[in-house]
This record gives sequence, structure tokens and C-alpha cells, in this order.
Amino acid sequence: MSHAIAIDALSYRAGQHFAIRDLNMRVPNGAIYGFLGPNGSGKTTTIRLLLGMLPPADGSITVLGHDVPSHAHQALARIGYVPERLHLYPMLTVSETMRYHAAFYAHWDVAEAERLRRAFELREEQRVGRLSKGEAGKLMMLLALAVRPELLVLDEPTDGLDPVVRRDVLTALLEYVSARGATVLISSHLVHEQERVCDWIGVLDGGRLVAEMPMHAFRSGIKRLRIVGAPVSSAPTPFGILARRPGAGREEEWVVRDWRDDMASWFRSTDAALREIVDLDLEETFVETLRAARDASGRAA
Amino acid sequence: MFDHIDPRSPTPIYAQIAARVRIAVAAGDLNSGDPLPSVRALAGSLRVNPATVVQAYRELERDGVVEMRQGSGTFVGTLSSDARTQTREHEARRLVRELLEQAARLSICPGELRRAIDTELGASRS
Amino acid sequence: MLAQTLYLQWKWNRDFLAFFTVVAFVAPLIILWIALTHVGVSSPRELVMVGGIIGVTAGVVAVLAGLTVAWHGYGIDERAGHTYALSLPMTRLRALGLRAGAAALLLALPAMGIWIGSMLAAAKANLPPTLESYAGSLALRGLLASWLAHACMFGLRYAAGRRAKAVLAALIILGGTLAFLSVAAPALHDPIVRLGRFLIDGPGPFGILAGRWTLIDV
Repeated sequence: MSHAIAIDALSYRAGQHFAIRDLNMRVPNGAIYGFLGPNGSGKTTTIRLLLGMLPPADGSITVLGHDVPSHAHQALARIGYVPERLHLYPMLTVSETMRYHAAFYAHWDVAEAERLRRAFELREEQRVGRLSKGEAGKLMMLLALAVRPELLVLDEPTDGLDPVVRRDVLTALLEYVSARGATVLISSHLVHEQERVCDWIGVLDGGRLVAEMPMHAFRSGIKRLRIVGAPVSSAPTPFGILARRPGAGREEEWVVRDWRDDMASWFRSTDAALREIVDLDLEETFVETLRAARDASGRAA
Repeated sequence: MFDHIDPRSPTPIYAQIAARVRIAVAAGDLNSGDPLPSVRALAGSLRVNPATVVQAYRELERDGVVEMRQGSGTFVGTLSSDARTQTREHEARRLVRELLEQAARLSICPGELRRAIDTELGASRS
Repeated sequence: MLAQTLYLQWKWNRDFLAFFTVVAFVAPLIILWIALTHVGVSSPRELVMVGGIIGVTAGVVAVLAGLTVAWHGYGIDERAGHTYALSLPMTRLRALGLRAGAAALLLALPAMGIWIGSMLAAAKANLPPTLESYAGSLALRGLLASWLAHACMFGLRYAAGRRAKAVLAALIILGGTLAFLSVAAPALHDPIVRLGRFLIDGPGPFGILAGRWTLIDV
């Protein structure tokens, strides 16, 4: 089993409209896989599907070697899940919740759970319904980590949390991943956070995965070039052109993909001059990828 | 030492971490035998992928700057003062290379660049 | 797992359970007290009638307890969209079984209330030698009626979810209409009564509701 999660040709319908269409996704073992996508692209739906909470209309899902949803309960025993919104029982206290959760998992580590509770400064007798957003986020991460999972599925785990809490939650997550070598799937629109932490990226748009590759390839492959005297004709280029836009004065802005540093010399063979190579951060790369994907599907339609 | 790791910089994070260690060693902040933070601790405190930290430490080990000892952690290797000087030279040339590349793109000729360096060095000395 | 589910259901439902247990305990005593001091019941025939009133009351309390626990108990998960329960590593069957099992155990509390309250009431009544008290079987009957009511409401809630309210309203309207018709339209009276008899007397769990509910009898 080389992939923690393998999804093939997955489709899901919500009413008349296909929320997920022909989705193919592979999360390698031990990867920290960032799931990026605009709101409404289907990130939470995909997560619910791979946890067996929703029935697929078509396609297959395999998580930790188990077919989902038919054997979802077997996979779930080795998964730590942090949902988008607090889903715990509000009338239970922190320690009652920990005891409840522990009863369902064979690998619950009592000592580790207690250590995390203290580190997160969660009081045992506090009711879940009265926790602040930050405390709720910390408790959910605690529960997900204390079951000693092989796979962590995190749906916007730090969304709406203040920077201090966000730091605490991420630190605990990364310390666990270092120690255990677990696989992590993080869905988040906090792009800068994904940038430091993820080594794989999957971009979801309109229920389809438009890009899936290692993070360094995603980031380094796409650049923005400032060109003067650009050739009007579409001569073959060693790199892929995602977009060409007018810039300031005689300049043009090209967004290219599959760029390598030695390609700067190609411009000397043309009349164009390469003024600047701009590295795009993850957010800009993400936006350009979406734009290119939407243009491509628009042209194909 | 490890503050301000910038994930948005074109330099990969592992290279930034490795560079910090090299600079600390060259400046004498880290001496032979000093321990580096564990992968787990550094990944947690920097909030970066642990694989990135491992990659940084492996590169440093390949270059002879550190030793990774199974079970005990990672430690700065035995370095002569020659090696330290060499590291500083290496870093200085890397900085100059970046500067030259950028200058070339802006069509700044070497003469202009040299004059600018002299001016700035003079200004910083006073 | 059962212990934790039991604790969870208890914490969520304890106000209702406490209420029904107290009512179940107190009702036989109050009914008897009213009968003896205010109405002046003394003959064996009158005592049997009082026993019947106590029995039916116990039955009603038991059924209401079962319905309430089933309806309210569903509310814990409904609020969170069932995400928590669905994300725990167990089959749907097991999850539902734990819920229903825990509720069944908790419904023993109102049944105990019936038992103890009825025993005390029977003792106070100073029954003549021709009459017997059946506190134990009354309580057991109450327990089974609770379980029946709980199972029906549980099934409805978990099958219909949000639409359960609509289904329930439809059933009540249907039942009310049939009852009205059986009185208002003489031609329909017999078929409707036969349908009702079939549901209760025919083979099936509803039989527990039929027959005499009484604490005191010959």
C-alpha cells in the first residue's frame, strides 16, 4: 500500500448537480498533502466521502488499504479527524469527552492525551459547549492526535484561530508527524500555512483536481516573466505558457510553467529581452493555476 | 538563529535552514560537538514539514558540517578554522553571484556595480 | 463503549428521566391517597377499580418516558449533523445498537419508580385477603411498554431524521381521523375497530399495550 489515500473516478451528486466529478487523487504515504481550492470547490465534500460519511455516486476510494465506504469503520480506527466545525457533545466536559472518545479507539494513548491537555491549557471540568473557538480547535486536535493515527484528515484545522493558538496546534501536529511518520491531508485556504508545512499539493476546482504534484515542483515550475519586445507569433517555447498579459509600457507579462533556470538563454535567440523572473508564492501560483485551468476548460467547452 | 525562515522566498526552506547553520558555525556561534535541535523540535517550533528539516540536516552532513548520530541526534562536526574561513568565503561568493545575476537583468554594468559597492562600503564604515 | 454511551445518554436525558421516575413513583401513592381519604374507597370492588387507575397511569407514564427519551436522545447528534457519530470507527449497526441499548437500560429507572411506588401504595392499602397486588408485573409491563414506545420513536427518528416531525404529524392526523370516523360514521365503525384489534391482539409487540393494566386484582 504505497498510497494512504487512493481515489479513482469519484463522482458525487448533491441533488441534480454533480458536486464532485471524475476525481482522481493520490496521497502518498508519509506525505503532508495540502488540499487547496476556492470555496465551494468540494474540499469538505471530498473529505466526507473519503471518511465514508457520504455515499459516492461512482468511482472507488481506498483509504489505508480499506475500501470506503464498505469498510470505512476499519479505516476510521486508524484515522484522526478534525472537522471544519466543532462536532463534539456540548454538555460533556473536556475530560468526559476524552474518556468518551478513548472508548472507541484501541490505540488511545492516555499519557499523551493528558500531556497535550496540559500543553493546550484545557481545563478538565470545562464544558465543551462553553469552550472558546481556540480551545475547541485545540481539543479537536488533541483527540485526533491521541488516538495515534496513521492518517490525519484535517478540514480547515486552524481557520478562525488566533495566531498563538494556531502555532500551538501546528506545533503539536508536526511534532506528532515527526515522531510517527503519519500521513496528513490538510484542507485549508490559509495558503501561507500550507506553504511551510505541505510537501504535496492538490488543487481542487469545481469538483475536479486540476493539479496534483510535489510542492517544490508546483512552486518552482511556475514563474512570472517580464518581457520587452515579445514575439507576436506563437513560436514553440521550451516552457509552457499559461498566460500573456500586457504590462507597463512596452512590457508584457508572461506566466509560464515547467520553467527551468537555463531557459533564460532561450530569450537571447529571439528579439525579446527578459527583464525579470518573478518567483510566485503559493497563493499566486494557486491563482494562476486556477485561471489557466478555467481558461482551458472554457476553451474546450 | 532560525527566526524569519521565509517560505515565500525562492530559496527552498531546507536550504535556508542549512544556510543558517553554516553561518552560525562560520561565525563561531556553534562549535564542534554542539547539538542541533532535534528534527521533531525544530519542525514543531518552525512549523515546517519534518522532512524539510531532515533534508537540511542531511545536506549539512554530506558537506561535513554536522554528524547525524543514530538515537542521539545531530551534532556539529569537528571543524578547523580553515573550514570556517572556507564557509565564509563560500557564502560571500554566493551573495555576490545573486547580486551579479540581478544586476545583469537590470542592465547594470560591472563598472556601475563596483562604484555602488565602494560607495555603500564607505558609507557603512563611517 | 456501552459504558461511555450510557453515560452520554444519561447526561443528556437525565432531566427527563428524573422527572418520569419521580412521577412513576409518586403517582400510585397519590392516587391511592386521594381514593382512600377523599373518596372514601373501602370495598374490594372499589379497590380493584383504584388498582386499575394506578395501572393505566403507570402505563401512560412508561410509554411517555420511552417516547421522550427516543425523541430527545436523537437531538444530541442532530445538532452536529451526525458528523461525530459517523466519524467514530464502528459500523452503523453497532452505533445504533449502542444508542438503543443504552436507552433501554436507562428506561429501567422509571420502571423502578413504578415498582417501588406501587409496592408502597399496595402496602398502605391494607388489602383484604381476596385481593392481590401485582407491583412487580406492573413494573415489568411498564418497562416493556417503554421499550416498545422507544423502539417505535427511535426507528422513526433515525429513519426519517428531520422529516420525522412531518411523519409523526401525519400519523397523529391519520389516527385521529380513524378514531373520529369510527364514531361519526357507523358503517366504518366495525372495520376500524377490527383494524385496531388486529394491531394490538394480533401477533406482535403491540400486545403489551392490550389487556388489563392494574395494580390490584383478585
